[in-house]
Amino acid sequence: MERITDRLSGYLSTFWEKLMEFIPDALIIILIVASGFIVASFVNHIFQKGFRAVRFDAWSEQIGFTTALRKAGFSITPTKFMGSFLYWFVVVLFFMAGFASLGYEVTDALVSLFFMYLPRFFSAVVIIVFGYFAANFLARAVLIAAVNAGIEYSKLLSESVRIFLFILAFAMAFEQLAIAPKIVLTAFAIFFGTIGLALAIAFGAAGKEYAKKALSHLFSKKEEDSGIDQL
Amino acid sequence: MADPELSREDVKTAATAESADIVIGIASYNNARTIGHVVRAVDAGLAKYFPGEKAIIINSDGGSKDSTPEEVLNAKTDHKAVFLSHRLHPVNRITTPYHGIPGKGSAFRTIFKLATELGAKACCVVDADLRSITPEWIELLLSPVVKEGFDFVAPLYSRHKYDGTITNSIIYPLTRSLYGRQIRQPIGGEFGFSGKMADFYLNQDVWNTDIARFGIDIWMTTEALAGGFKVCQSYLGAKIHDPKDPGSDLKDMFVQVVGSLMSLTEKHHEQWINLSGSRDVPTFGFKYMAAVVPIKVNTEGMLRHFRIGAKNLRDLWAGFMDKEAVSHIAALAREDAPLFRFPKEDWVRAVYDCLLAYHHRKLPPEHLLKSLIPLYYGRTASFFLETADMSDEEAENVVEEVAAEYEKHKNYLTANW
Repeated sequence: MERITDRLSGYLSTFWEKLMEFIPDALIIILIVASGFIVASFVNHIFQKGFRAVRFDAWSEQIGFTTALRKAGFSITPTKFMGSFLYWFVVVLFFMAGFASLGYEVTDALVSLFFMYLPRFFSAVVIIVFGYFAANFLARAVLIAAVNAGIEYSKLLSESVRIFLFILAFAMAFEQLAIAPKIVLTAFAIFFGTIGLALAIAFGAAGKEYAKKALSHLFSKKEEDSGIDQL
Repeated sequence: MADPELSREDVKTAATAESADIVIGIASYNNARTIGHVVRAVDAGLAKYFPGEKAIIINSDGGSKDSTPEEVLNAKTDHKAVFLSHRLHPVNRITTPYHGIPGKGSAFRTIFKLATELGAKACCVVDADLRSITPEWIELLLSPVVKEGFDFVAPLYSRHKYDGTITNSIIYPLTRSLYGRQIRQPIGGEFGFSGKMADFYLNQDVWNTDIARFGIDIWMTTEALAGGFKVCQSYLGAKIHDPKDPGSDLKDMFVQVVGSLMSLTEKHHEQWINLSGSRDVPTFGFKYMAAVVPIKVNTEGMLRHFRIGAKNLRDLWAGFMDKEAVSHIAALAREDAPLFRFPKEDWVRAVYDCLLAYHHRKLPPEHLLKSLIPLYYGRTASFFLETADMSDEEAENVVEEVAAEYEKHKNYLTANW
């Protein structure tokens, strides 16, 4: 019994020693993370002020970013969204810096992995954001052009373009994040290859007459239009 | 110092003629079929009505592939002996190819530049594709400047009721509502102006913008109105010109002209925001019943475009127009052709909403303007159906009613600007 008690007290004293060694490290982490929150609040405040000064909300409304946020379930303004994003990014950075201060092999590996992954993450974010705006802009351009060209199913065409570009952007982002790149690439190739083939067959088989009508309508319209001076 | 936009040739030609009282500008591009007639009419008009003035005809050509410049230089007036005997100074004809961005804007810049350098007191510009120009047009465009002291003379034509639909449904009523002056043909193409006005135009910073490229006519009229210059209009009779290029696209034309008008509306908001109502401008010339070329229209085709727009663009329109108004427009699209009407109230509201969206940058300008085209088709089809059994004069009353509607609802525009 005495032996058990000795061994237990030995373990407890080792644990206590380790804990005493760790407490300063933990305090340093807490201090770093706490200062991270303070710096994040400051960054959030400064950036929100800057975004307001450059009328970021109005610009976001124009390019469709506000709508995108709303659709994604965010009921805050784009300025607040960006501020919050930066806030949490700074907090995470400080958190990782706190971990790095421990100097353990595991935490060091985790932190270096995190920082190595950051450029990929940001590239993926940029690809998604750019893809989103490009998809919306081009889909709208296709919609308006198709309507003015007299195509009945302009909206369907426009939505197809939007979905195609979204999928393209996400595939590129996944590839950038190195998340199953081979699967993404193969799925992408199969998906669009199938769509392309289906469209080609459908248009060839069923759209011949429609294409003929559309072309004849286009040319006859040109002739009719030449009789009137709209200006 | 020579302007970098003008070639050495331009400067040389300006130097050969030291001064001129009157400068006539003709902008051309592949107008070999008609430009000879235009030059002869101009020449005869100068000889008959301004025999004591030293005049120069400037043809600014956009690099025609046909024989346009040769036609200008070889043009002989039918009554040369008679007219030359009345003339103190022979009329010089200068052919100056213009450079920089292609189009009428660059041509006019060359004309303004030479008019200013030559110290002209009165100028006018005419299109090179005109078939109906007579010597009297020159008198009607220049006399208000030379004899009455006006700075800007807009043309007034007899046109078929179906002609000039963009002018009738947007350009005329909106310009009138904004600037409070009833200039019926703000983008007519033929204008008279003083030397002071030419100098003013030349010194505006627009020459490398889209306005100079695509909207020079509306720009000239708007600048004259917003700048507080003395403006008037002259009745020229019927305007008949060469058929336009069949490849020219209504969509591009609409975007260019309406886009220029909207851009100018933004620029001059301080001038129009406090104005209300409108008043007539002095009109010169004798108004007579001129025969106009009948026009066949494809109302069903226009309605089809409108319906396709209403079906597919509802959500887009709802982004910058009142949702109830969009629902109402969508309901209109279900009406059959004989009974179809696009009320002027809805049309005016749509144009004002589009102008506000342009101002508040709700959509890229090209998308915004192109999305208005199906509505324009709807309104135009409605106008064709409404005026099918009307004379040109009766149809003109409908255009005036639309213009009055624009004025009536201008406070909506100003309140939301």
